[in-house]
Amino acid sequence: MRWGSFIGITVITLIIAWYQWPKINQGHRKDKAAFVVLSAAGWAFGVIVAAFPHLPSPLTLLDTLFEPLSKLLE
Amino acid sequence: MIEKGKISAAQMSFLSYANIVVTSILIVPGITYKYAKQDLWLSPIWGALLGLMLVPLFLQLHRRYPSYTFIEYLEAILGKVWGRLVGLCYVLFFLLSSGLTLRQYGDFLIGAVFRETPLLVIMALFSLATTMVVHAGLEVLARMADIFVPLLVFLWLLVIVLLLPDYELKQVLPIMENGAAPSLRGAVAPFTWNALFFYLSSLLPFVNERERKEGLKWSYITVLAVMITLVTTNLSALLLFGNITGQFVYPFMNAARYISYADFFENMEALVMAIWVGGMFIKHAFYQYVLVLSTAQWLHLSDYKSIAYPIGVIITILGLWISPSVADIAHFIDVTLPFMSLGFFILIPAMLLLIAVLKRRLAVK
Repeated sequence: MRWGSFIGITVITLIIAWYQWPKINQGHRKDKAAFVVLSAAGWAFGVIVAAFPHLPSPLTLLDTLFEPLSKLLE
Repeated sequence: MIEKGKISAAQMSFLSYANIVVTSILIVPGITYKYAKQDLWLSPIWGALLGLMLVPLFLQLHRRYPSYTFIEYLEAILGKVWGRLVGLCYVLFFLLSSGLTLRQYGDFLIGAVFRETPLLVIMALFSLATTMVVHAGLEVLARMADIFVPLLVFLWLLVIVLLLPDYELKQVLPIMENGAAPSLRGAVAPFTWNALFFYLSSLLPFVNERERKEGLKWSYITVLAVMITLVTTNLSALLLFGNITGQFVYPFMNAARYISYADFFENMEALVMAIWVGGMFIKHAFYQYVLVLSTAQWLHLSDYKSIAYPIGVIITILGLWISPSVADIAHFIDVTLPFMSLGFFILIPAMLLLIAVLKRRLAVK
């Protein structure tokens, strides 16, 4: 685990929350929930990518998925 | 409707034009040459045929649901369960497109100028700027296109014109040496880019009411403008480099580097760099806008601005993670992306229109 990345992503997420939270339409619980979930997802995503930089990329998955079709082009 | 901004028909056209042309003038000539050889300038003309078919498709869908964007009429046509399921696929696809665009921007900048700067820094700063645009709304994005697009077209034209004395016309011969097949195979990349006319569906609902008619005209003008730009770019690379065009990943960039007048007008690739940075700014901000708006519509939120920054963070990390190398991305764009575009941008919208028409017919009976 790289602590620099961990601290970085945490600080960025907190700054965004501090800036954006008061501006979310009051009384819309769904908006607030969406903001919290997406912020948490971004944070978790960042931590995971920082911890395991060599995760297989989504493009590899898609390349494999579409291989029967893409063979037609090659 | 959660987007309250209004744009003009010309702004819609500028945004779509920039979205397609920016990456294609750099990436398409190389890919096209690989298959079409000296017929590479014919391929964008085949590509434009697709554009000419897609525009009416989205205009028809738009006529049936004038104030809805794609994600919204998806739900209106397919019903709640299927509409949301397919909608999720689109949101994820938009996310992938944004991440990919951001990464392309970063890779190109590092490859060409900022050799020592970490990728993350370049992408994060760029992402911050585009997120601010998205947060400001569609009107700001449209006005940005107003300012940048004419400037970018001018710079592009400047590169083409400065190369005029170096062109050798005989390089285009023989035309269609092996029939139309090579140029058609080469047209896969222009097809993929012309499929981006799908994004008209995200802009049409926000065009001024009194310019609705003009929106139709401007959409077709955009198809022609894209075709002319691509044909000219491909042709200028061919006329300059002839049969070594295929050795460059970005022939247009190399062409600009070739310009030299009186030991004074040199290093013109800086112009291409300016086109890339300015154009990518519009393109990525637009993609991010579509992603943020679609996500908000998919979740039925009351506002899209509040989720702009969290999504900006997700895109940046995705851009970092998406691929270990430039070659992987090139391979993906060459063979996999065409099929994804075919599905998401052409087949599903065409089926939607069919279902919408059938629904109406059955309802009348």
